This record gives sequence, structure tokens and C-alpha cells, in this order.
Amino acid sequence: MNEGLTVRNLTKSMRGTEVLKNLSFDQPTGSIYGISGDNGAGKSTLLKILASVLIPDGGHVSFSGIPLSDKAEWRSLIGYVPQELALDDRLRVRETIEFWAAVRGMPVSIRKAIVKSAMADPLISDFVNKPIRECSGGMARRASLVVGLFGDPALLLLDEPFSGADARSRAMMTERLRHLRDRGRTILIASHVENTLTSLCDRVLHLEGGHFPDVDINAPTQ
Amino acid sequence: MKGHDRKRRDGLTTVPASFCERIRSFLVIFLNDLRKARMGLLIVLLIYAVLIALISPILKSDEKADSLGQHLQFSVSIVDEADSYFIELIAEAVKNVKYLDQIYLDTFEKAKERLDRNETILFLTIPPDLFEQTRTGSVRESVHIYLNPQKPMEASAIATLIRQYYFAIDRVYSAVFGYQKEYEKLGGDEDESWRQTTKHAINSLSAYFTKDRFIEKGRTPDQSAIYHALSGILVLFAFLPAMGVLYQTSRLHETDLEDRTILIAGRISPAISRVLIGLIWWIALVIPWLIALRIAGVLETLLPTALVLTSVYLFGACLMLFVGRAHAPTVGVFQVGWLIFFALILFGGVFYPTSLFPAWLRAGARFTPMHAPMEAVFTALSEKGSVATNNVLLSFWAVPPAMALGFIRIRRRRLCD
Repeated sequence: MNEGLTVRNLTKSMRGTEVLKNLSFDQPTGSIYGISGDNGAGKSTLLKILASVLIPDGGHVSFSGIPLSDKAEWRSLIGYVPQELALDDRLRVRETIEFWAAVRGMPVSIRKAIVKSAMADPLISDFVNKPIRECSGGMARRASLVVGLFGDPALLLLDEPFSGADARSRAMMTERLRHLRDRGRTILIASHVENTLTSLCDRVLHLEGGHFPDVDINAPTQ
Repeated sequence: MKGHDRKRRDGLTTVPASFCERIRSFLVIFLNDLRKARMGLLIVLLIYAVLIALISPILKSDEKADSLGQHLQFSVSIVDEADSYFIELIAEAVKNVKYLDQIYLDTFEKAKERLDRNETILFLTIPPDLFEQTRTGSVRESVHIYLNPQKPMEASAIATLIRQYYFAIDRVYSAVFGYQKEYEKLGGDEDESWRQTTKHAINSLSAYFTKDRFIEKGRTPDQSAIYHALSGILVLFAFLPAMGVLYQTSRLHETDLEDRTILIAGRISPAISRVLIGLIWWIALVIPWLIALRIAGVLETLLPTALVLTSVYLFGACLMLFVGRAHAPTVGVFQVGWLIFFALILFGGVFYPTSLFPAWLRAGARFTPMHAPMEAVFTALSEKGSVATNNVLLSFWAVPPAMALGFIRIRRRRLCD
């Protein structure tokens, strides 16, 4: 399978504990998949591996034919929104957007246009001048999502994106994610809130014991 | 989708790809770090400004009293009753001594007249049988010193020094006496042999004339302590920004914020940015001191000393990049960092001179990274000079290993790099 995300026999041990055990699944492009599981089940570990933050002990991962081992190409494909906010809370939302756009090294003229466009994004447009530290959980999550969406990544990895978000923020974010899926983006979300995942995702994979017990990779692709 | 187009519809890449993009990315990280540090830097500069305002009057009064140079600025008369070559040689040997203003070769009457007019602080008479003890073995004091009654304290202090010099010359003269005979045996003229021997004795001693430590014999320990403290402050201030590098490194280590930054900008840019911010702190903390010392005339040149102190910072920063990435709680890493800091400072002889250490510890302390910079700075300050090039290079010996450690630690991070 050359299209979409392919994960085969992924294993990872951390501090002597096998967190992921021969984990395998496929995700077609233009879909939203959810990964559920209890705390400590290995959801974040899986996403960190897919984000190329952690090195897997074994297995193979590719997206659209590009292997995870080809780091430069891989990182140009993905957008990663980590579990923590991972934003400097001393900055305003506007400054945060400017910073994360600028870190990508684009010329100022292009960057300004991007930032202008991001400022108009409904996800953050009503609080761009607020410092991150003064934002509510939902606002900060939305800002973090906007940062993760820079570069319009083909594969979007979201770790607990709705954590601390109120109903309005959650609705705005899910609407945006659906929109992205409709534009052919592939989205993988890890969350322990199963009902949100069920309503949003095309498929929810339950991580248990380091693998997906309900996934049969030999079965026809859904 | 091999060869995926990194430039998306919105014109933004997910990660910087070209060299220019990487440079821009680095500059953004650096300027952001600088912005975070600016308040601290401003506070430090403000504190310095206040300190300078408070200390400058004291420095000025110290300048007036800097005494030794000006207290000891004096003129003397010499009455040479024998009209010997000795005085000529003495005058030649001491003409560049900074605390000697004038040496008059006078008759007894003229010398006395100058003393009465307060032109000289003392005069001394050289009898014809100078160094008779050396020649004949009969004990006598050959030199008579007449003090200025208007400045009895200064005159007696200088007279004491002159007596010390005289006995030193006499001792050296005795030591070389045998050579005079050899010179004569080899066919030299007797008078010329005495002349050469005397010249040699004076030259041997005149090497010490310009040494303040010899002149300021009674004050040497105090001055050493001051210069040691000053050197220690400089080395401490040069190392402190490295602790900022440790703080920033350990605070962000293995956090999601660091992951996000490294995924986009790579691992080197944030590390270099951190080291450069530390370097700016180093400039703020160290350079004003160096300039002040230069203005005060304690340092002859800035650059070599600055280079030595840069080596202290670079070593510390690279070491703390290594320590800061340890797999341990942030607080634990920070404590370990401070422990290393104090160990380096202590064994490098920054708190106490290594000369006070037991012999076995002193031998070991010489090989600690702070020892060479501390010695170099101390020598530069205590001798009011500069740092020799080989000492500058020696100060950098620990930097490459520390750089290697820091780099290895970054490479061994859990990221897929």
C-alpha cells in the first residue's frame, strides 16, 4: 500500500517495559482515525514515534510510500500537535503565530502573508492579542492546533487535542479537522475521550496491551 | 508521493529546508531567546551603572592614593667620594625605575643643599672603600644615608629599601668576586675586571628594581589577595552564564515544547542559540569589569584576558549542554550542575590559591579546567600586564573535550536524529 499511513510490527520499550508490541494498522489518506485507550496505554508513545520524536525499537512505518527513516522527507509531511501546549506562555497569541511561522525560515514577505491569514482564522481571530498564559484551555488548544497546521501538512498527528477545551472550542476544532479531511489530509488523533473520537473519526482504534486487538491488517481496507 | 513538495499551498514549509531557511530559522530562535533574556540583561546593566556611579569616587580617591607609584616618586643625591665607576653604573641601571624621579651626582655640600630645599628625599655618600668587606673581609658599613627631615617617614622607608639593595648588591658582588680574579687571569685589566664584576652585580640586582613586589615588600600578600579576588570574580562571572545554559537546557529537555521546536528547526539551532545568549550574558557580566580594570591601569590589554575568560565560558556552556540533557528530574540536574560548578571553581583555585592546597591536591588541581584561566588572569592582573599567547591557548585546552561532550549528548537524544 503506497497511499496513506502504514504501520507494521511497531515495537517500543521504555524503561524496561514493552509499551508497543508488534503494533500494526493502515490508515488511508483523507481520513480521520482515532486512537483510544487508558492512560499509559501507549497512545502518546505511538504518536511521538510517528512524529519522529521517539525512535522505535522495531517495525516499519511509511506514509504515501515515504518511510519514517527518511527523516527530512517525513518531517516535511507531518504536523504534530503534542499533548502539552508546547507554546511559550509569555507570548501573545499573535506573537506565538508569528514565531512558529518564522521558525520555518520563510522570507518575511511570505511569512507576513501567512501570519495575516492565520490571524483571520476563526479558531483564534477573537483573541490574537491575548497572552497565552491568559487564554482559557480551549483557546490555548486552538492556538496550538493552528501552529500544528502551519505548512498544511499531509499527515496531522494530534495528541489529546481536546484536553481542557470547552464545548465551543471542541466544536470549532472538530469542524476544522473535518474540513481538512475533506481536503485530503490524513489525521490521527490520540485521546482518552472516546465519545469525541467516535463522533469525529472515521475509525477508532482501541489501544490495549501495546497493540490494537481489533485490527486485522489482512482484512480488506476500510 | 516521493519527492513530496514541501512548499504547500499557503507558501509555508513544515520545516526549513534550504540553507537560507535554516539560517532564518536560527535567527528567529535566537532573537526570541534574546527577547526573553532582555529584562535580565537590562537589570544587570542597571546594577552595573549604579555600581560604577557608587564606586567611581572611591576609585578616584584610590587613584590619588595609589600610592606606591606616587609615594615613591622621589629624587636622591649621591655623593661619590671616590669618584668611582660604581655610581656611573648605578645611575645607568636605575634610570628607568619608575619611582625614581631624579638622581643627582653631587658634592656633599650640594647634596645637603638639595635636601634642605626639599628637592630630594635623601642623599647617600659612597666612600672610597666601598665593598671593602667584599675585597678584604673587614666588616664596615660603607654607605651613609642622610634623610630629609621634612619627610622622615618616607625618607626612612626609602633608606630601609636602599640598605636592602645595598646588602643585596654586596651579596651578589661577593658571589661574583671570584669571577673578577678569573677575568684578570685571563688577561684582563684589573680595573676593567672590577668594572665588569661590579656591572654584573648591579645588573643582576637591577632586574628586581622595577618589580613592585620587591619594592612593596611588606604589602605583597595584601596585593596578591586583592588580585586573586579580582581574578576569581572575573572567572566566576565568566562561568555564570554557563549556568544559564544549564537552566535553559534542563528546563526544556524532553518537553513537548522542545520536541516541537526540534522537529521544525532541528536540534543544533536551539543549542547554539542558547550558547550565544550565554555569550551575551558573558559580555554583560565580564566586559565592564575588564574595561574598568583597563582604565584603572591594572590590565595592560583587554583582548588576551577576554579570550581567556571566553574559554571559561565556552567550556562551561558546552559542559552544561551535556549535563542539562541528562535523563533526570530538572531539579536534580540543576543541583548536579551547581555541584560541578563549585567543584571546578574550588579545585581550579578560584576560591583559594592552589598554593594553599596540600602538595598532592595541588598537583591534581593543575589539571582542572579552571586552573589555567585562573592563573593566566591572576598573572595579568598582578603584574599589570597581559596574558601570553601560550597561556591563552592553554586556557582553551578543556574546550574541545567539553564541546565533544555537549555534541554527543545532543546526538544521543531520544529523537530520531
